[in-house]
Amino acid sequence: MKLKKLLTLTLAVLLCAIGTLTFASCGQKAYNLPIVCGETGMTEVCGVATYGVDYYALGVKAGDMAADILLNNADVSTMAVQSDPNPALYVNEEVAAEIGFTIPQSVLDRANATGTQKVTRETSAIVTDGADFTIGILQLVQHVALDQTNEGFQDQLSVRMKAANKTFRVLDENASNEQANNVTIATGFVAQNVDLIYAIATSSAQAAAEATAETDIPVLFNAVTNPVEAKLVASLEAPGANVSGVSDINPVALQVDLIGELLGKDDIKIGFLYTSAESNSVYQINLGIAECNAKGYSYVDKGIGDINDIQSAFIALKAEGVDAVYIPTDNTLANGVANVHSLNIGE
Amino acid sequence: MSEPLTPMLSLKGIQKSFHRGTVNQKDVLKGIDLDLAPGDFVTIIGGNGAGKSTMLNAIAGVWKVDGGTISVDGVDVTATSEHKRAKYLGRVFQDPNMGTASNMQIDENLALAARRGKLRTLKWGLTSGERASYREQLKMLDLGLEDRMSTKVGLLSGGQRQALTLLMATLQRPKLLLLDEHTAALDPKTAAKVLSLTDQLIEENHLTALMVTHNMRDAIAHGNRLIMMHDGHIILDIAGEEKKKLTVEILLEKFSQTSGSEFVNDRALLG
Amino acid sequence: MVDILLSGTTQGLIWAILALGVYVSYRVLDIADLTCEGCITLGASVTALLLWKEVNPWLAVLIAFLAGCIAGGITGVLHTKMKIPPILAGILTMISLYSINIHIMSIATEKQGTANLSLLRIDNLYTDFSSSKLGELLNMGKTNAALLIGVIFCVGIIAILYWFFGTELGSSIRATGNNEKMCRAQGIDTDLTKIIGLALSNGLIAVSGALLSQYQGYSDVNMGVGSIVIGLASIIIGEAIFARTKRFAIMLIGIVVGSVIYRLVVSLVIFSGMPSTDLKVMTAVVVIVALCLTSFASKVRAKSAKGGKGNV
Repeated sequence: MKLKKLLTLTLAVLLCAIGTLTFASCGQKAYNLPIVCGETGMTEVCGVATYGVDYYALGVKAGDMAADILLNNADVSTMAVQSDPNPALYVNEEVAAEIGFTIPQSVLDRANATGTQKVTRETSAIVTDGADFTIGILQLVQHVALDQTNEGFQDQLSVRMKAANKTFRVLDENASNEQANNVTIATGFVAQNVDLIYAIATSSAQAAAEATAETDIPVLFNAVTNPVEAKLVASLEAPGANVSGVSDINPVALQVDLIGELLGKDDIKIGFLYTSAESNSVYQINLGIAECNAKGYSYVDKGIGDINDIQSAFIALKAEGVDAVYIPTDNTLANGVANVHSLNIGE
Repeated sequence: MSEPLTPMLSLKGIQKSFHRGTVNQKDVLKGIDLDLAPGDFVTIIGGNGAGKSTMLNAIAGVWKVDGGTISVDGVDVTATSEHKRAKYLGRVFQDPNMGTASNMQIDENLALAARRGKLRTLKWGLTSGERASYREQLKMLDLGLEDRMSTKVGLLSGGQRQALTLLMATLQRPKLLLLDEHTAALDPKTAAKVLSLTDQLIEENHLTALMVTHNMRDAIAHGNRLIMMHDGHIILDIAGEEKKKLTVEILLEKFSQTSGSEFVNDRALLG
Repeated sequence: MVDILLSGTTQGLIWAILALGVYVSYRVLDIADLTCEGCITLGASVTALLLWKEVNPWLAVLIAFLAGCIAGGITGVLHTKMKIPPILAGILTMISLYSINIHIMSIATEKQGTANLSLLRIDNLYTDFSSSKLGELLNMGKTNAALLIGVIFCVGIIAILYWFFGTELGSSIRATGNNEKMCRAQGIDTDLTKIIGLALSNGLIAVSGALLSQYQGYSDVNMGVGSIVIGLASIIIGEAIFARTKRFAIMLIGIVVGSVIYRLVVSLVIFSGMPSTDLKVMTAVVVIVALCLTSFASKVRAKSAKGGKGNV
């Protein structure tokens, strides 16, 4: 009995303490730092502007590469890995107003958040019988971004095929988020001797690369952030085997330059906020740091352990006198963008 | 001058309650003292809730007792875990399904029982030499099981399973045989057969045994000593000549004298 | 067509090892152990790390087995000593393995947070075998080597399991899954038998992960998603086909056959041309139909048997 009472009392005290702390953290000072994120989705919640990767455009790029391989006999091993050729400039005036930041007119003028123009698919080029080429498409999971790369690919390829008076057949397969199916689909494609495999997402691309290792079937990947680390290619410029494709790495250099443009001066300090346990984030931050060095910007590297460290990270960044914050495409921070925003505007 | 023999079983001050510290607390064993001499075949009788099965479970070590000590052949086992205590004990349960592994064959079950108390290694689990010896043992049961040694136990009838469990309990000679209403779930004919088998095995192996039964007639007819429990205590302990002269009426009379209440249990009375 | 059958069979044999592992915990021990999804990835990540460090691939598979045994042992201890319900114990280990697997893969790249380790163009079991003297003699490419190695592993594991469950220790593990109370009454330490059983089960699952990672060319922290379902489906199909057998060895072969059939069914469904969004539901439907057919067939068999003998 006594123990139970003691426990209840302790629980009550704890709850009060938590309540007080929460209350105390309200009405915190606002940092009002302009934030540029690696990805449009995150910027919509907490950022002022960014260059966003358009997955449909990535798909179109891959379609072009496929057409070059199939129609013009281009050599895959020498085809450099592509990335988004024309990232869209996205501007968030709402958040800018909330933090009391004025976006320069030059930036506003260039903003084109409408995205790339869609390519009209030439359906007559896609047939089921008697096609000149068979393409196997392996997509890891149903997901908006990946679906767009698939759509863009088929649209562009059909246009190029139609122009060359050729037809192609598509085996469009989805692993439904079960990686076991990656291997089944990839080996099945090889067994059916397709002319090209288009693999969307890193694990699907790896399965396709392994399945085609002893063949000469070309593999084009898409939506792979770091193809070199995934060992899909020897280097971005010279893939070296039967695998190349399109990377969905966000244009970090452009985004860092954008920070400079937003602040309207070169003498700036950028705070890099990211989760140090995510290798893709580390990769992007390293690109960012390289660009800072090139442009002569100074920077502060603030890697956090988990979402609870954001508060102390902000305090530290402000103390170091950063003018703006860059957050890469980072899974943990993507899940916590709302927190980031609330902290920034001080509520 | 002969030394007093070490009791095969010695219970001193055994107490056990369930749901302690709550509103549902039930004190089942309230201080049991019992000594069994080697070779004692003790029948235990009592009404519902008297604590008979609980006492057997306490001896077997299914859980730890709240107070008192338990010794088997001079070894204090009060703190020993159930599976370690099994070295000394043979057990037959009320539920015929509980004493055997239904998905395994008869000979495999016997092989498991033969290794009770021994370390189980990567040696082969059932040698052909063993099988031959099991066949001989099963013949003794007179149930035709020796011709069906590869049958899965789950296919046997309740009586056959209990007979098998009995055999398994005595395959490795136990210091103490615990029988927990082991004929209660069987029809009268099979129950009689199992009981006579029980007598036979106990006599042939000179075993010390505790048999809980709900049937007063059986309790009187079997064994050399009878214990009656009531409300967590042992209230009657009759042995030798006096036990031979017992009848159900005498028992009931003794019960009402010592406990001050009527013995109310149809099953026990009607048998 | 033949090539699809061959590659489907090879994958089926790799998944069969996982199914055999799940069989040990699910059927022999009667414990629903969810460590599976974390453990197959553990086997894969340990193997990938070791191959990056140029360890002999066969040794890497053995070490992966031991790692799986440890993981299974932990689940066993959580359940037996800390009295955590088995399903929860398995989930706790599985969740912990997610982080552990990332750490293991990060050791290889020396970068924190590595969730995917590529094995492309790295020597593995299959390339080693096909380029060895024996492989050249048999003129085996990587795909045929994979099939042969799959068969070797399955046959070897079935033989070892058949022997092991016939030993004293193995029999006591079987009995634990059947009647725990009786086991304790017969002096069997059921805590220990459960821990050993779970360790063995997860060791096998890790071996499956070790082979799979080399076959598919990578190890990924999410590759275990859906694997417990694959294991259970293989077991159910195997038991449905070999329903009338009483012999343990035949049942184990049945599991392997069930796994191969399941993988072939999935292949069939994928390449049948139906929309890929329906892959999962169509696979389930095919499995249900197969089960109904076998259950119907056994009912017909029972009826004709009854009719012949009269009243049973």
